[in-house]
Amino acid sequence: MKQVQLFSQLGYHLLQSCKTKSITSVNHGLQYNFSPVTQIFRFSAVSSSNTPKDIIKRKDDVFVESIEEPIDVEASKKLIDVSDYAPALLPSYNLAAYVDKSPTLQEFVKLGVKLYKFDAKMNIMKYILTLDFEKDVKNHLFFLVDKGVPEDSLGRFITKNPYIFKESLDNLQVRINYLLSKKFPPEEVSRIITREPFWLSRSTQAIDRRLGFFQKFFNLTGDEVRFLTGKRPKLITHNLDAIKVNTFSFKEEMGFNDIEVKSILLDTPKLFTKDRNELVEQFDYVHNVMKLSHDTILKNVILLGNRKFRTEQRHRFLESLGRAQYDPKLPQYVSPSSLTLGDDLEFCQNVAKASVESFNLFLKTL
Amino acid sequence: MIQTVLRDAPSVWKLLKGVICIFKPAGVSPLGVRRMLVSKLADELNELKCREPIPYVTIEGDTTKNLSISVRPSFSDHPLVVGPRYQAEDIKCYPISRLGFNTSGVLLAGLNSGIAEAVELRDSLTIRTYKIYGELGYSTDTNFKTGKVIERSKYDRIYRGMIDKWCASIQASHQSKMFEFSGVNLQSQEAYDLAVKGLIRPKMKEVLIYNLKCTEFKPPYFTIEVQCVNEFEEYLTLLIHEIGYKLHSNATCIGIKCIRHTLFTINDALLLKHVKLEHVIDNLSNCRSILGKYSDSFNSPHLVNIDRNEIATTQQQ
Repeated sequence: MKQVQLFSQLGYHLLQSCKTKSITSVNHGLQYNFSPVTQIFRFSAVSSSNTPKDIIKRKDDVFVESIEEPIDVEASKKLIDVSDYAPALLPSYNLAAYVDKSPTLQEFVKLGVKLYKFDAKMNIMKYILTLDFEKDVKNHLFFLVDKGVPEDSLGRFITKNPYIFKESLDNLQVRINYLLSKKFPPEEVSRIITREPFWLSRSTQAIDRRLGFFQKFFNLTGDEVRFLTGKRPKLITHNLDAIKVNTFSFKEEMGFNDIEVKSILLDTPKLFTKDRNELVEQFDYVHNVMKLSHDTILKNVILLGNRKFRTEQRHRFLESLGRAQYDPKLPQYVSPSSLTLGDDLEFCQNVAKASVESFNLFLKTL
Repeated sequence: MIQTVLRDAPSVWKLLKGVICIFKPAGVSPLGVRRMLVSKLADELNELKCREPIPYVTIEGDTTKNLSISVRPSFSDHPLVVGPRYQAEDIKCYPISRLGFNTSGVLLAGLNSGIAEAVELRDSLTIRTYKIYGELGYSTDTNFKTGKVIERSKYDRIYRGMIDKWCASIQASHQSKMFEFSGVNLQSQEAYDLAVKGLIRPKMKEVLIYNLKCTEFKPPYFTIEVQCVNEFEEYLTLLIHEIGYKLHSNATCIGIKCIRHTLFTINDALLLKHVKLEHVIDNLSNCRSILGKYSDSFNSPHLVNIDRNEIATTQQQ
C-alpha cells in the first residue's frame, strides 16, 4: 500500500511538469473536479466493449441520462473544447508508464540514458520525474560538454549519477576550479569527470580529504597523486575501508613491503578495488603453485588481477606441454603476464605454440 | 546439410529449446553454470536485430477544430526504458544431474520448452560414468583434498590387486542390492523374469553401482571408474575414503569427473567459453539427434546396450 501511495505522488509530480510544458495530447492534464462532459467520457470509456446501440438502449446508462436531461439547446450545439480534460495518470511501478507523456524523460531517452536501471530505485524515480528539461537539465548538460565530457557518453554519465542535476552550476564550477588549482591539466580534469560521474557530486572538502588520505597512507608525492587520480579516478571515490583492507592483505598476507605496495598502486590501481578473497586466492596460486617469486610478480602485477581459473587453465596446459618455464635466464622462457593477455587463439599461437583444438581438448580433461 | 543465416532475434529464440550438453568445470555449482549460460545467451540475443517499439498514436490540437493525428514509435517500449528485449530471467534452463561443486564433466540441462524432455530423462534414471581420482596416504575431514588433514599413514605396501579386490567386493554387494531395489518380491516369478534379462534399474532413489574398477594405479595416485545411478558428490568421495579404510591406510579424493551421462560423452559437451548462439544451436540439434532415436530405451526397466559407433553413423547422416 505504501508503494502505491508513493507512486500516485509520482504521477502528480509528472503532471505538474507536464502542465508547465503545455503539451497538447488527449491525456493532457489532471482535473480534480470533473465536469459532466468528462463524466460522460469516463463512463463511455468504461463501457467501450459494448456497441453504441447497446449504450443507447440501456436506460440506466449515464450517457443516455445526460442526453435526456433538459439542457440549453444553443449551448449544446456548440463544440466544447475538451483538450484540458483527461483521466488521471495511474500509479505505476516503472518510468515506462510516464515516458510517453513527459518531454523530459523523452529527452533523456534521446541522450541514451538507461531509464530501466532506475526502476528498482524509488528515490531516483521520485526525483527524476520532478525535473524539467529546459530549467533543470539543459544548462548542466551544456556545462558538462564545455568541460570536456564527450557528447556520446552523457547517457552513461546520467545513468550512473542522475543526482548531478541537484548540484548548482556554481558548485560544479568550484569543484572544477579546485582540480585546476591543484595543477591538474584541463584534459586530465575532463578525463576524471568522464570516467567517474560521481566526482562532481562530492564536495571539495571531501575530495581534498580523500586525496590527502592517499598521499599520507601510501607516501605519495604530489605528481604521483595526480598520476594516480588521472589513471583511476574511481579509486579516489571508492570506499576507503576496502582500500585499507586490501593494503593490509598486500602487506601482511602476501608479504610485500611498503615500497612494493606503492609500486603496485601506481602500476595497477584496479587491484585495490578488487575483492580481497579473490586476490589472495590468485596470489596463492601464482606464488605457491607456479612458484613465482615476489620480484617476478611485481614485474607482472597484471597477473594478480587475472581470474584464478583462467591462470590455472593456461598454466596447466603449458605444464602438460613442458613449456611452463618462467625463469628468464633459462631457454624457452615464457612471460608470466602472457597467461593474462590475449584470447585463447593468440595464447596458443604465440605462447604455447600449439593448436587451439588441442587446448580445447585439454580443457575437457581438467 | 542446409545452412541458413539467422539475423533476427525472434527466429533464433524459436530454436533455443531442447536438451543441451555442457562441460561443467570444477569449482562452479550447476546453478552457477546455468547463470553463466543464460546471461551469455541473453546478451547474444540482444546483439541481434530485435523487435521494434510498438507505434504510439497521438491526437493533438484544439478540440473545437480539426485534430491532427500522428504516429511515432512509442517511447514506453524503447529498450532504454523497459530494458533489453531479452532478459536472463526469460530463458529457462534446468540442469538435470546433481554434479557437485568440485565435480567437472558432462552436465545435461533442459532449455526452455526442452525442460519437460530433460525431466523425463532425469526420472528415467540414466547411468552416469565417473572417473574418481584418489590419493593414498592421508585423509581429510571433508574426504576431499581441500579439507583439513586429520590422519596420515603409509601406503608403500599397497599394490593394485588390493584395490581391485575391494572394488569387486563393493560392486558385488551393490549387485545383490539391485534386486532389492527393483520393487518386486524376490521369491516371485516376476523377479526371476527380470533377473533373466540382465541388469535392472532401481525403483527407489538409492545409490546403485553397476560397475566399479580401478583403471590406473601409480602410488600414491589411483583412478577409479564407476558407473552408477542416483549418486551424489559426497557419496563418491566417501567411496574413495572407504577403499582407503579397507586397505588399512588412508585415501582422499582429489578430483571427480563425469565422463559420460547416458549416451552423451565428454566429446559432445560444450565448453563454457564456446557458449555462443551458433554453437548452442548446433549442440541442441546434436543432442536431439542422439535422444530422438534412443529415447524409448530410457524407459525400459532394463539397461539397454547401445553401440556408440551406431550413434556416430546416425549423426553423419
